[in-house]
Amino acid sequence: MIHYCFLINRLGKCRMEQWYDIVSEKDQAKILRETTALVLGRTSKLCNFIEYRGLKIVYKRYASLFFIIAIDPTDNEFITLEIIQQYVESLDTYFGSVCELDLVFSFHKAYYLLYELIMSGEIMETSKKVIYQAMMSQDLNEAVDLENVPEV
Amino acid sequence: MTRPLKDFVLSVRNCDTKAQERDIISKESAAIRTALKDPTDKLKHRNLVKGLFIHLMGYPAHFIKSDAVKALASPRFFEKRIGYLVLSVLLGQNDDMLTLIPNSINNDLESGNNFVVALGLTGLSTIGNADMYRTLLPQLEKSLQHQHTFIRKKACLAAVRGIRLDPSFAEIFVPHISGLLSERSHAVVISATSLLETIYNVSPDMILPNSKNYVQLTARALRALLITSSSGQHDIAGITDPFLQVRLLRVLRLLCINPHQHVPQYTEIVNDVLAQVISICGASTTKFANSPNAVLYECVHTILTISTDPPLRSHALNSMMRFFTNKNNNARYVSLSLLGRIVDLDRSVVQKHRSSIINCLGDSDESIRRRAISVVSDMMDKDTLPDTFSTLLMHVSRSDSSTKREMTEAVCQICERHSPTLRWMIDAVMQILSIAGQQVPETTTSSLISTILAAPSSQHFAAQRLCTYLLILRSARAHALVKKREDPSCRFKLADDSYSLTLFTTGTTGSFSEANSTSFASLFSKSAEMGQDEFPLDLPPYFCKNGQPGVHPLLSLAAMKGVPVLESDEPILRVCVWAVGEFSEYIVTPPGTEENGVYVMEDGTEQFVPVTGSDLVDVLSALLPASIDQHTLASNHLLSEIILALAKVMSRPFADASLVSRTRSIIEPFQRHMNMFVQEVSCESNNIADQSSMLGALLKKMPPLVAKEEGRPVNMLLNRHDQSWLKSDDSDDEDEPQEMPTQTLPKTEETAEGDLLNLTALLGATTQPTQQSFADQLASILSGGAQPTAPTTQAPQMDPTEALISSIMGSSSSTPASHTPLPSNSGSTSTFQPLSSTVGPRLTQPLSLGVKGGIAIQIECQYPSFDPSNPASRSRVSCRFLFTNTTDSTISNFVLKTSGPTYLQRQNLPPSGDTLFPNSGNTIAQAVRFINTTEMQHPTIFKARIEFQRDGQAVIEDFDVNELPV
Repeated sequence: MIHYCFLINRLGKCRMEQWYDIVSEKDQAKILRETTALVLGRTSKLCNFIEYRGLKIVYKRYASLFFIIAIDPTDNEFITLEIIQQYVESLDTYFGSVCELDLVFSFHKAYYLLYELIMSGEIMETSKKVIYQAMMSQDLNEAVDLENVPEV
Repeated sequence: MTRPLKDFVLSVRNCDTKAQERDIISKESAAIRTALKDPTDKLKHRNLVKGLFIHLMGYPAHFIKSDAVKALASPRFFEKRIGYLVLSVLLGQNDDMLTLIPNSINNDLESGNNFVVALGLTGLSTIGNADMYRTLLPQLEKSLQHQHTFIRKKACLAAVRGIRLDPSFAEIFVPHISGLLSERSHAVVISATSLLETIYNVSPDMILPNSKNYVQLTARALRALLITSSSGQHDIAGITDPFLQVRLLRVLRLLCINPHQHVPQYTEIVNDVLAQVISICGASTTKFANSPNAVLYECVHTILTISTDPPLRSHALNSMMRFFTNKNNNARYVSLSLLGRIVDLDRSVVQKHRSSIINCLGDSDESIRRRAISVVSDMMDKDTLPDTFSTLLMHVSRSDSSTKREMTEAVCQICERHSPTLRWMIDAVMQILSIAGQQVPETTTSSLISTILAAPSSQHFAAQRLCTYLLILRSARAHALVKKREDPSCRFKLADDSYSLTLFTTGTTGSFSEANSTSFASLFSKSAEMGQDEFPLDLPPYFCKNGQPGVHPLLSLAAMKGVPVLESDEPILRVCVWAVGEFSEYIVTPPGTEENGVYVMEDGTEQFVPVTGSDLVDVLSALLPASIDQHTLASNHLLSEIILALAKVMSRPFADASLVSRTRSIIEPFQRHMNMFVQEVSCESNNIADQSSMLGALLKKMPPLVAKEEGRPVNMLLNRHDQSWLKSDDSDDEDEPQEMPTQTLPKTEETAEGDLLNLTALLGATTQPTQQSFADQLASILSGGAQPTAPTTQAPQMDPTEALISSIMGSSSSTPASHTPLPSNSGSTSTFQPLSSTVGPRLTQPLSLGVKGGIAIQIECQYPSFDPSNPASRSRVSCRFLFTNTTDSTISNFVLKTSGPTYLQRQNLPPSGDTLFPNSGNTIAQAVRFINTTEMQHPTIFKARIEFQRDGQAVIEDFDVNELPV
């Protein structure tokens, strides 16, 4: 099971966080801080896994962004890396060669995309095509309702 | 109309300072708040997104919550979508807003628009609590049968979350699992496996009866994935849907892990499909990609856990070893995890790769090191430990600060659990202590000590061995110091074990380049090679001057004065000092004669140099600071243990009168040590020595511990020796059972001179019915908080001493008078007799407490309700101190401090001033209120300290108040 996902940049700024456990706000801040420090402290040659608070943190760096997922110690680390890859590819398809700025200005879209991939801490959709279609259909749905209303 | 999100984000990004950022965000927050108040505003979604951005920036944005809840009910999809997102991110589990949401979700779940239903399900899974789920269960169940897979997969995972919140929901969803598992949509099947696993985790009984069916469905789904030629949509690096394959393999493992579930025809199906999976993945791992590895890894795990088919298992093992030998760190980490998981299932496989696993302890990657530590601690046993121990030690000594403690603890635990013999354990623990002294958990040393105590047959060996370690260590330090003095430019550090210890192993002319931190290990392995297993003190022979008579070179070096005690040596010293004190008669050479430079004992055994009790006293006292004021790195705890060890040495039969008097002269100055605990131990030791008849009995060798067990694992060694001695729960059991009786001993005249008040002396005068618990209280007071309380429960085991102790405690009237020292204030009981017969408030006459540091002290007491016939009426008292300066110089910054036993509540009232003029020019008065919570069952006694400045010098004086005027 996935316990939480973060998206942080090279400077340690959090771009997105999603919790699948019930964690108090204070602990959330602490975990985020400590995890960020752990991940940023590692060089690129080391493995992508860290043991932390009884969980396994799997992270991967894409350009200036770190994608971080915490899983159970018994979960499969490789497939978690693949989930990250799946998410990044979906972002890429959706935004069209995604960059950090896309995630800053359209952070809500990044959340929507995550909700199509992972739910209740489990991977839900394994097809990038389905994810893309779902995003597009919902955006269309929005557009119909928006009509004369300006976008966000 | 507020500005678009993009403009706002840009302006925040353009801020140069944090203050600017705060300013912009607070202005925007105000604008959003105003805009949200307008019900006709069409830009609610924009304001909500901006509010969410403010929240993600770490600023408060709770004001958007209620509008987000309203947005859920909006007919417009974009508002609803944003509303759910805001609540998912912002809402806590117990938010008040949660009660307003179920109705909106309910409406959405019943909507005709599939995307609205999907939003409702996602919202339920992110913000729902158990109550909300309970309300919406019927709708959720209905969504599971929705015609659209897009809804079914989400309903399935929303149910997963619900079951995690309240396992009782599981039974509603169980009937749907089979149907969902047999669907064609990958997303639905993978969600169904999550549902199955979640239910299995909360109540396996709901799954197991039907497991054959599930195994069949899972195997079929898995095979379908293998047959499908790459369909493109689900294909990653040549593997069809690795996500689903991994989940299915995991579920198979879960379902087949119980042996009674093995039904032949299904075992065959499962083995068959596993073989297919492993061959397909194995073929495509030529290039390193995550997805084939993920499936291969999961498949190997499943095969090694559930399959009994030998060819399949060996295939799986080979695949795993390919991982392990891979240079990629991820692969190595994962294979270590896998090894850790199968270590209990298949020990031989893991043992086969022992050396490679142990090598991972020295990996540059911290994650791999940590993983290796846990695998190593699981795979060790008593057959493999001796061979690998030196490698383990090497890794401990080389590890960096991030994992050193963890590694040390793991190795200590392995030694405690798997040492083949006690002798081996002694050497092992000593070696760990020498390398990583301060990282070693106290439980390890205490376990070693209790093991030694429980095995009387090995005590002779243990004593000599531990004494030798002490000598080597101290000699090494002394030698390093000497070298350093001779050549100040020398670069090595005093604490450098590798240098100084190698010095001994290689001789002064030897090369230092081969220095390594396992020199202790090599030292003793050399002596073992020479067949000298018994390890008497004259070993190792290369320390000796070719059999020349005289003082042993190790002894003379170790007894060198002024060699500092390093902080890192402290743990090892504590064990060794304890052993030397406790078992000194095993170390001292029995009487014999010297022939041709060789010392021959009465039983005919030869030894190069004899060891005398005086030598031991020299070595122990060399550890003490030259004067009590001298700053030393040795902790007070170690000091008191050294003093206790000295006291034990002088109590042993070999000690003659001159040795006793010499030892006492060493101990004596420490009665004035700054630390109360050190002072305590030295006072006690000195007093015991006064009672020569008690000396032997009180400090007698400790009987084996029959300790209480409090949730700690029983030492494996002890089990193996088939002895019932269990570990003591106290980490300091090396001396405490002995301290316990001595702590309750009354003091003689030393306390009357009074560096510090000694409560025990006062208590000797009054016979207390609750002696035992009172002794506990005392111990806690006397130890000053720094020392753990002595385990009083061990008293009953001290048979020979017990009688003496109880006699000293004064509970028995048959005690011979000579054995009961007269307490200094034996007359104090009489002061408790009422002197007045009036009932009511009472103010006493001032009582002089003498002159301390030139200050005359008087005390007068005020009892608010005094009743001469009832001693309990004196439990409330206000003591007024009067201080006058009898010297010629002015005293400034005068402060009074008091402390007392825990049963006494104190309140210091403000003093009348802090300056005392010379020649009794004025008086400072200060009152202290006491409430005796035992209603005078225990006397109101306390100690006080005055601190002041005279002629620019700080002065501290202590005095004690052991009787109050009545």
